[in-house]
Amino acid sequence: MIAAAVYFFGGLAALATLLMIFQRDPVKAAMLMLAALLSTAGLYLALSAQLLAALQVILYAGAIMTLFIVALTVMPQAWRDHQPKNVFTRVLGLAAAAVLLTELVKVSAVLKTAVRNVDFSESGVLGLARELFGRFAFQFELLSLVILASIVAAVTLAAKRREA
Amino acid sequence: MNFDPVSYAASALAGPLLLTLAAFGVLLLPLFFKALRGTQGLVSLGAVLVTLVFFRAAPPAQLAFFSGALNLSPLSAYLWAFAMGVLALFIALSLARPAAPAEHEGEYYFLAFMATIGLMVMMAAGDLFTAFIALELLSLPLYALAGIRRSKPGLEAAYKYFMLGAFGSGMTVMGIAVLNALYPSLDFVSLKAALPAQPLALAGFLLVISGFAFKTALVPFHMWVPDAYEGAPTQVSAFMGAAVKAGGVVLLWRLFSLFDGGPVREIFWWLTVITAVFANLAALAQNGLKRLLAYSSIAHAGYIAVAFFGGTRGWEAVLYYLPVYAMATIGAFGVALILERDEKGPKIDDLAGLGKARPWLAAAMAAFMFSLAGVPPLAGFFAKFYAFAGAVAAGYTSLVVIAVLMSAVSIYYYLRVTVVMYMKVPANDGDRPAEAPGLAEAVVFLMAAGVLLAGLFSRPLLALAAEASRWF
Repeated sequence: MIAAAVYFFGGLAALATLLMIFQRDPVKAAMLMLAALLSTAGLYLALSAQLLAALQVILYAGAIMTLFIVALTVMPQAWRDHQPKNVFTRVLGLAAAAVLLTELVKVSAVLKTAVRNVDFSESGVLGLARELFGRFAFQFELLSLVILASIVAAVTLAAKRREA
Repeated sequence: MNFDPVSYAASALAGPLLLTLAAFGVLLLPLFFKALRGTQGLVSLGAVLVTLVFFRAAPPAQLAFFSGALNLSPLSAYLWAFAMGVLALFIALSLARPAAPAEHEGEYYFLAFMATIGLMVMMAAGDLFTAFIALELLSLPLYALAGIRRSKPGLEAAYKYFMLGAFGSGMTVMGIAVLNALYPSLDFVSLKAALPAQPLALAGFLLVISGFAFKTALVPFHMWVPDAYEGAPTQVSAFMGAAVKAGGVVLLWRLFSLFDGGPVREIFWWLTVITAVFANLAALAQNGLKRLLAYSSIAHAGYIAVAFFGGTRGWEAVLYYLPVYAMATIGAFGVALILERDEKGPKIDDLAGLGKARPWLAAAMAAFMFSLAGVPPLAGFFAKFYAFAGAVAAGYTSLVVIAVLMSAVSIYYYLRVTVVMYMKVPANDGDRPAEAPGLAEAVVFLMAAGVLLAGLFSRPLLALAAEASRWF
């Protein structure tokens, strides 16, 4: 059952990522990336790493994707996807991809032999919550002021000026 | 102990809480009540003054709050009173001449409040983690305040300040990550107890120290200072000079005092020397008053760092130094504000003839310059004297010799301002800017009186500093 879920979400993530790479429309690519991120979260859930899954959804699918979308909406230049004209750039890209692929194969070979504790469920949400709302409650609250101040600062600098 | 810690905590924490409340008040209320628009400055000043009035002297004990995140003691009370005083003066200067466009008044004061709260938490922080978050709370609003006019120099200042500040924050957080991996706890007391000489730990500490050195503007971490001070609204420059530096100094001191010797002290020695030499030499070549004050601020960071080497006496000296330096700097920036015609502030030559045109203002400016240069009987002299005396007593004579030599160099450029004011004939007579409203001048004269009185009667302030320094 778990193995099936792992293969399902893993396959979904791989498929979405591949589609994203070959997608020319930036918004569709972003949506496919969102699908990839969410299926990764599903993968974590299947491995019963709930905290990791939640963080994946909140941070990657939530915050970082929002950033992407905002960047796309405010930067119209990004909509035009030019083919790289330079041969050198293409070769460089292919070389980088080859290096990453080799590393990935090497790492997964190591991971197969490594013995590890697969029980994620103990590492946990509860512990994190206790720290966050117990020992680090003050810092946590202070952080809310930091975020608020940043929002006000950003809006003040970026908002359209009203005519007096 | 014949006091109730809980009621003391309530009264001590009432300061930052009231400031937070006031911050939200000035940000939000004018959105709903039209009558309140334009009064944000007055409301802010009133809130800070009320907070200062309710500020209570701390009982002689150190109390740790929030699992050690905040340490309240006479030391924190002293520093908090200082921070709120600087905020009050900043607001008064902003009231005299608004720095922000009218529709951003609320945000302007909100951001200033937030920065001050960050500064207060940073000064009382019991561990590195809290100190870092407080540093961000101090820095982020100031980036925006520097560029709040959205003019070219302002945005340039904000951008440079932001980029280098983000770089400094990045270094700090990397260092904290390294230290977090090595030590079980990041509070200063247990760091001091658990400190072995480990290369990785040293790297972590140096990263953290460089991050805070950015805020204090020690050379070579000073690159942002001249442009940020020049391009930011003059009120904001004054706040940066007085408040941000103080926060950085307190944190650097805490980090410095973790080490009894070894490479970190040596590195501090070099930082101090480079800062004192470079800043003073660079200041000689400046023509803009705000740029001159920026280099002077870097140089004074160097002098304060000399005091670090003086042990307990040095700490006392630092606590005396901070308000004295703040008074002279805020005063000098106040004069720049009164005379400024464009955003970059007056050139030094624009001060020509001030001695005749506005003798009292010129006298106050001269007092600030002499105090910054360290001429007796002004407070700046005693500040430097105590800072250097402690280091000499601790055996760092060569360091003090260099600092004194460079401080002699500094007399040249401080004196130049005075000479221009009294002896140079203004190039274009009758082109004086309009008389400023009284409030800016009131701040300037208050600061001048402070510089004079804290020098002539240095004992009360020094006694307060000494009492506070015992709780470090």
